[in-house]
Amino acid sequence: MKKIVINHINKIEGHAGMEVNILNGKILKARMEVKEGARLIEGILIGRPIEEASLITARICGLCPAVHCITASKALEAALKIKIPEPIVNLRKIMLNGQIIQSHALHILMASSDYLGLGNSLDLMSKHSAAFQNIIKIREFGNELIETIGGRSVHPMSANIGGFLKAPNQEKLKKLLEKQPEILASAIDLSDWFEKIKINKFSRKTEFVALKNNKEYAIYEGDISSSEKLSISAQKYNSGLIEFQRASEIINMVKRNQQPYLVGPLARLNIAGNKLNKNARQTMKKLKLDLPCYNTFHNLTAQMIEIIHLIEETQKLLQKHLKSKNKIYRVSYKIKAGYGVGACEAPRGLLIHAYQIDNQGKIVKANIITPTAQFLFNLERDLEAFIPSLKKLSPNQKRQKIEMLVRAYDLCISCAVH
Amino acid sequence: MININPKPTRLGREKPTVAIISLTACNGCLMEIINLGQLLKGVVDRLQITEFPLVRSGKSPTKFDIAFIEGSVVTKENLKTLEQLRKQSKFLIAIGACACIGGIPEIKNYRDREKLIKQIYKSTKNIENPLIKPLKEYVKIDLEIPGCPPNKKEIAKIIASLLVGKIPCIPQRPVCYECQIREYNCLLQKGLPCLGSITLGGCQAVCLKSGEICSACRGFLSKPAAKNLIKIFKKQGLSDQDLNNLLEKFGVRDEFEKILKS
Repeated sequence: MKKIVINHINKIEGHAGMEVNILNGKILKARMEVKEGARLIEGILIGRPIEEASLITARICGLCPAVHCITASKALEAALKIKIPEPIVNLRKIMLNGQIIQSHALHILMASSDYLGLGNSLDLMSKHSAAFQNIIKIREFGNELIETIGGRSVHPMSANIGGFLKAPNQEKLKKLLEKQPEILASAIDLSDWFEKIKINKFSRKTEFVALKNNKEYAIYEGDISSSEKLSISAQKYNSGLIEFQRASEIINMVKRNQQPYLVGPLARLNIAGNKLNKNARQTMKKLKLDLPCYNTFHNLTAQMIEIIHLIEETQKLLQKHLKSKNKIYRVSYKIKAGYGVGACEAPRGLLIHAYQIDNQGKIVKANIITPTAQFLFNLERDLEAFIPSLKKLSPNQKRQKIEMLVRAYDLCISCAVH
Repeated sequence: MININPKPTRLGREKPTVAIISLTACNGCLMEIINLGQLLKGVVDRLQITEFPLVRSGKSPTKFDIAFIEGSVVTKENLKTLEQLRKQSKFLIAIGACACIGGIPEIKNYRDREKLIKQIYKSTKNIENPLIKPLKEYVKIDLEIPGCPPNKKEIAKIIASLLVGKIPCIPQRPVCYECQIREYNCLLQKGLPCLGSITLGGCQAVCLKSGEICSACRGFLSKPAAKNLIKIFKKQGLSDQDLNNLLEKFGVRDEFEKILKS
């Protein structure tokens, strides 16, 4: 039996490798091997005050801390049966937009280098300086959105149960709104550059899962829905999404009807592509992404499209916030025992937090399902389908193509293990 | 002066070689380096970042002038990486709360960690679950940049200082100092258990800016007035359990208890 082994895949968040077993030229199985330590975040939450959940779970991931804060808050609000008024929801949506914008921009920097023949993503700085500048500008805008509302871009501390500890600075929000057209122009400019990238060809049918609601391209709220027949409320997530652990592995992976499924930008586009804003729709046409799209390499393209959509969306939300006379930042609540689930769309896909709390306001049980834990299973099936097409390539070229597929998923191993 | 710069050339000196590595971590510290944004170009131009797996692939040299390392030692592999990096580096910098004081992952040290892991995994075979310690308990660390996450401006300042051959130093000032000059509301006076008065500043009191208490993510001052603060907390009616919770958050409960005993 032959094996393809990659010990460490670079340009992903965290430590992971891959092993593929091949017998007589036939792929038997592909396994992602995660080498990150377990920090036992769900365990350390037990017995701690509910207000700490958003601060502690933010530390699951330095790339998407804001979405952990907000999802934790939503889950605990569900447990406490608190209703969050629209002005707070809008600010949270802006934070999530900022989070996805900055995370996607970084990933385009990391993954596009493969297509440009650069080993080092930072080489974009000198070799594609206009694109690099655009990426930095877009990221900074995303970070500023989070920072202005959440207090800080990495591990924000203002977003908690009931809203925000402090009202965001209105002047700064106004400035961000004024800056928005320039950032949108940068993103469109970046998409022109992106158009020249020739995304790998590949296709394998799978089920897409994302939040869905009738009003908008869902990021903050909606039912957990799929391209097949799934449509359940977040509260009932474990009736459709089943966690499982393979022998001596460190990730609790997730399956649906025994099968893998995909979450993330490409899944969201496939489920709600008709709800994109104008410029994002035009970009989708320009980048020739036709839905449904089963080429996971196009996850990168979907990120480019989402950046533009979310910058447009941010403008609407900022305008709404600044115009509104009814500015509420925090609602009070009473501690009581209960169980609640929160779900949001993180940059890499559906994120679920579930908590059981007691009448002292302490966490009794916590469960967190991250996007990477959900799509790793799908990635393995993709690898099994993709690798046979690489037969004619040299071992080096083969490795490069395999890594490109892995990177297209934008893995976050820290999130997956937590 | 420290000798981090490599050999001189006709045009001055070669750029120092740099490694930026993470152990078991959230990568938030590395994010702060990338979040230098426009400043990042200045940093990249002056350094040779030869090892930075988050953004680059390919073989890298085996010696570094400066190495940044974030995260905790959880796996044997983590320990190997840390020990090897120590051997390879002239100047090793621990970056972030996990690396400097234990951070969030250290909370489990104060719990029954065998019981805790069973809450998460059906099978705990092969899953390493050691006590969490700051990196200086494993290898010699030349400088600590604390904080969860560290402050990016502080990172830039430290790099600038290293480039002129000076060992950077973080002034022994409490978070309160930075909080007061910015005229933020004092949360301790409001009756909240804020650790700002005994915590090493340099974060620009960013939590206080958002109305959040200081939880000592940067670790304590070298001579903290911990006993005084305890008296205030007691007067405010803070229970021992709540105090422990607060101190455990970034893994400084053991440190605090040592200070009280001394």
